[in-house]
Amino acid sequence: MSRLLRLIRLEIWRQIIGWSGAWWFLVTLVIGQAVAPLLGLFVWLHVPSAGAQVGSYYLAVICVALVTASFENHTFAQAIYSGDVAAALLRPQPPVIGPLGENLAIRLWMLVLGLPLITLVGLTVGVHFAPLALLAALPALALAAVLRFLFVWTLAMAAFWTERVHAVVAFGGALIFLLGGSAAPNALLPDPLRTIAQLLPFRSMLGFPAELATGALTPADAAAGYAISVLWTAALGCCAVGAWRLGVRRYTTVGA
Amino acid sequence: MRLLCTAFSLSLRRSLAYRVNLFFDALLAVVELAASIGAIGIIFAQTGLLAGWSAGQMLALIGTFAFITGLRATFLDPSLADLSQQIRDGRLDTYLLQPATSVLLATSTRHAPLALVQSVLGIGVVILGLHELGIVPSPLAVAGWALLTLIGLLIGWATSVGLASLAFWAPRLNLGVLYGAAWELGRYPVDIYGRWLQRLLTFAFPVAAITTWPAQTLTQGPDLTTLLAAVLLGTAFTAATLLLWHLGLRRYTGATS
Repeated sequence: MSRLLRLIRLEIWRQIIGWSGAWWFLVTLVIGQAVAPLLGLFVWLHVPSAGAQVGSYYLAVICVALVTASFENHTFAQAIYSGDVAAALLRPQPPVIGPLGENLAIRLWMLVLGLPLITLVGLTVGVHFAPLALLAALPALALAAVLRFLFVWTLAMAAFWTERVHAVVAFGGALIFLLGGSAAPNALLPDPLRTIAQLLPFRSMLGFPAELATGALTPADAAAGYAISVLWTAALGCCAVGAWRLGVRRYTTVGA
Repeated sequence: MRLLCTAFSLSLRRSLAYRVNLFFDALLAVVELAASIGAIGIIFAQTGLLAGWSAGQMLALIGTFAFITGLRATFLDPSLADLSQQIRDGRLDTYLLQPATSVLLATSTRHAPLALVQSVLGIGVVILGLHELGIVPSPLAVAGWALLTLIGLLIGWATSVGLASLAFWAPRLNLGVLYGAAWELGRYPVDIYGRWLQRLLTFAFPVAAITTWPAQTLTQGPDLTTLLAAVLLGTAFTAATLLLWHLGLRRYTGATS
């Protein structure tokens, strides 16, 4: 286990250094991730029934979006198309370490480079977070980060079968936008859409940690949300492993 | 125009060879548009008006946005996607040696006809919005909408090419993601943004002219001031982009020099 953690740490460090030369591009990625929650913020500030906490909620959503951003359809899927994934298969380490390390390095950079934007939005909108609510949201944020990675990585593995991996990941993106809490906070969704959104994994990837951070949930709702997040993490973990095994069986590269 | 038609015809024949891709693109366009309409539905379940816009007007705006985004994705994006790269590695030479306007060749001769599905669906949503409003727009309003949409596309072209032209000075600069994010602001009327952002989105990156004004013209009738402002903005942005392109070409040293 400690060997695995050391390998992940090394990969993260390697990727942090690798991406440090592309800081300007990373800034554009930050803006790209923040634009949908920002649009949601602008819209719901015009709706009186949204409540006074909507600014805090969307600021939290922007933070969650930056910390959970996943681009495996660009990084990992391109490695499948170019054949570079073959090198990872030959190394005496789990192949997930490469995409995982790159994912975490990009997220770290995005959080650092996104701080000015987060500060600006926070000062403009006027937000309030209780320290205890923020603490309660931290495990949910970690689960959201794992869930989003597993979700996008699994979808990116469609590259084993099709050239249209960006379209496949975009389907997932549309679902996260609509049901995850970016288009509207879960509490403002009309029934039965609200119940459906609570049962699906997309809210756990984005809106649930933000709802916890703003203190908008009762203890019972928070517990239910955590249970759903854990269940979906296990389910998507199994899906990722299954997709990987099936994909690798199909995979051929130069010389294979 | 004949050159563009020939390029489109070639791209169309290439695209139709991959029918599964057509299915994927059509499905993606449907899902993305459905998500946009779903978001509008959620908002209007909570309020009757959004910054003075009704549900029907918002549908007309979303439809216009999808229509113009589809046109951009069809006619501009394929050429603009790697324009910076072409400037960097000298492949721009190919266009400079051909007997036609280089800016047009380099920025509009590769097409993705399958993306037109989005435009067709957009028209459907515009009609849905008009049905929701219970109005039949006058021929003048439709003509105004068409003119403003064309100007919007021209501004879209000018801003994209302008940003890509910066590669003549800063070859590693890649602003594609930033441009895509700014384009997304056109999903909603500029009235929802704050005063300063509204001005920015009218004069600096005129999202107002790209989607808000066409939708307004279609649903409320044409307004001469708006039309004139759009024509002026379209002309100014096109002229500035052409100037930037020519200044950039002077700096360009090509692959072999």
